[in-house]
Amino acid sequence: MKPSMTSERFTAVQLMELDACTRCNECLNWCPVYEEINTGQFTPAELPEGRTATEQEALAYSPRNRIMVLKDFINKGYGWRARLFGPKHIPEEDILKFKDELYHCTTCGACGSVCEAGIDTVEIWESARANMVINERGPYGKQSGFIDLLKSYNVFAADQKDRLCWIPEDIHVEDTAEVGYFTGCTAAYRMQKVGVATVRVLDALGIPFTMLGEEEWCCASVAVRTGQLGIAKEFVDHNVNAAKKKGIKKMVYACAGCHRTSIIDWPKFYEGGELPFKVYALSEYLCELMDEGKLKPEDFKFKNSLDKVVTFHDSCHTGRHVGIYEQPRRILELIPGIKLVEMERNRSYQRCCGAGGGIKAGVSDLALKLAQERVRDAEEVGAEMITCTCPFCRRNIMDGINAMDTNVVFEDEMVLLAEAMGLDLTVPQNPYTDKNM
Amino acid sequence: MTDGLLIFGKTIWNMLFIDWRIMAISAVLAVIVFLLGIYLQLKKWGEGSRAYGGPSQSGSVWAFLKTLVHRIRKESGSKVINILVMDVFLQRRTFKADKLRWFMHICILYGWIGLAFLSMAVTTSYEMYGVFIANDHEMFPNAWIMLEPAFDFLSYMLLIGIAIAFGRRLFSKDTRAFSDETDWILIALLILVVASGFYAQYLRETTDITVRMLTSEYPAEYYGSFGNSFTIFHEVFSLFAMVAYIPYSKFMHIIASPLAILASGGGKK
Repeated sequence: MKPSMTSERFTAVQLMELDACTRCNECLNWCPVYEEINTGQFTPAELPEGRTATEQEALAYSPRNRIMVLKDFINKGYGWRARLFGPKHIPEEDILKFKDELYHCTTCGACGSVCEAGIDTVEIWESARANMVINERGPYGKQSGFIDLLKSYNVFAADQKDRLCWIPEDIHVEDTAEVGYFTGCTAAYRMQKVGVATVRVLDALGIPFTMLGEEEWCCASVAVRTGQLGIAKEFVDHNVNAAKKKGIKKMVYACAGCHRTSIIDWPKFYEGGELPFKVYALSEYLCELMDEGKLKPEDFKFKNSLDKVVTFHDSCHTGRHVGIYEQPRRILELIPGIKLVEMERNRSYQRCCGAGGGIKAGVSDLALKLAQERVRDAEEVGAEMITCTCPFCRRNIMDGINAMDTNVVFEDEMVLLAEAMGLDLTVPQNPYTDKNM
Repeated sequence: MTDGLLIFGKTIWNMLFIDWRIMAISAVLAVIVFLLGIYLQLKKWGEGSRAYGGPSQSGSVWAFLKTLVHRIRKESGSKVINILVMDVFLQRRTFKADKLRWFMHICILYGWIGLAFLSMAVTTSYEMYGVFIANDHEMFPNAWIMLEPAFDFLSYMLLIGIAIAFGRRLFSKDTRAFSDETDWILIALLILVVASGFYAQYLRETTDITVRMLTSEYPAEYYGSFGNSFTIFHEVFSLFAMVAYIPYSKFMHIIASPLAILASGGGKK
């Protein structure tokens, strides 16, 4: 008899990690989704209408509980009782209930950062989601539309030929270069100002760079985050091979989602497991150049003082997942007039804005609530502006700001840097001009 | 004192032998049950793939162990040692999160391991060596008496740890709310082991020698040796609750958690 919940997509170490949970409950102190549900700020659609979740119902959406339930499911199929007496049946509604709880997670990784057993929770959630998809139980809500969108190789079903339609005419993109700039779908089609700011900064600092253009497909983040891995290998192979043809040795990213996917997920799918280039967050790359003496603070030739109290929101992807915390702050500290303040929860303890893990598409009202929490965090420390290196965070936090009565504004870090350097951020007219966020 | 039994050409005090036989059988059984549980756990873990998205390893224990070693070896030797000392032995991650919980964990873990290790060391080395090899019947009770302060210290450590675990659930609303029968069963087992241990020791020290001689014939001055049927209950129960039961219960995290920390390079920071 086949176990009701199979071990497909789980690694051996992950199955061991399920048994490693000490039930210390530390993750409950940090999980933003559990907090929203437990405090009655958000009620999952699966619960009866008209009331908030009880303590036990909220607990079901916590990382600890997901580990416990997964462990129980796996034990029923493969544990010592199952070995001796055969797998125990799990009612399908129990598995589907778990799926709903699993897909309410933003995969922010706060639980993993504080886990006393060192469990790599994000990878477990994503493996569990992949397991759900393989067994036709996942994904959740609108997330199933990602695969259709990706038939056009980007998440906006836009024309790949327009991938570089926003590049200012005076910017020279090399045919081949050691440094490549991976734009990402969002900067290419919806937040082109971020793309313009990035290429302007690279150009102004005299860093020759190339881009993949039409050959840059979606990094596959949305598919990987939601467990829909069927297309991942094709997309990863395509992007990596396109980068190889361009001679890229260092790929830089101004999108945290693409950055995380490239550095953590691409090697899982790419043949041989090792990418032929090094993956950098743009701020990380600039700091490396400064550390090597190839770039000096005066090379930025700042022309404007921004005169704002700014707080930096660590994106989950570049922050907790990859471990880049200080470099974006070093770049911000270079900008004249900026007073950098820290929100109470910062770096590895940062509060997720709610955009990730497919939540923006799957449970958009939860994403909005979480974004508003983050804006309140910024208000508490007197910040006038939130900045970040993630277009997804930008989109969601701006949605949060728009839904609130607040004076806090948001701007991407590269845009701030380019503005301080006095660079022209005009986005050339293109078919996506009116769709820009 | 009786003439004793002749085993492998050595004379054993017969009543000691009764104790010893019960303990030996219990210990062997507990270890067998423990190892069987570990084997089944390893087989379960071996159902997973070696790498992300790879095929299942079909429950191979060997494949799991190779996967684990492969993951641990991703880190340099010095980093593995650092993780082992700071994160596994000293539980740095718990220390950062909550000092009281860290103290509780340290007390329970090292109290438990210390008692188990010392008991095993005394019984296997002094008892086996003393009685069977050196033919010195006093070596074992002497060792037991010599190590009594260490046993006391570890017992109080364990007691303090359990008291904190129990107290947190009694006085902290959150901890109580998040605890279920899994946690309570383990705490109850620990309490039973510790309480019976202290009571057994009390009996050893206070019970009249003639009562203790029901099961043991050590000379009266060796009050620390096996001595009464309650002591034997405590020891047998401890073996099964604290050793054999590990792979079949939440106690499994005692083994899985250090392995997970090692496999994840010390965990996310």
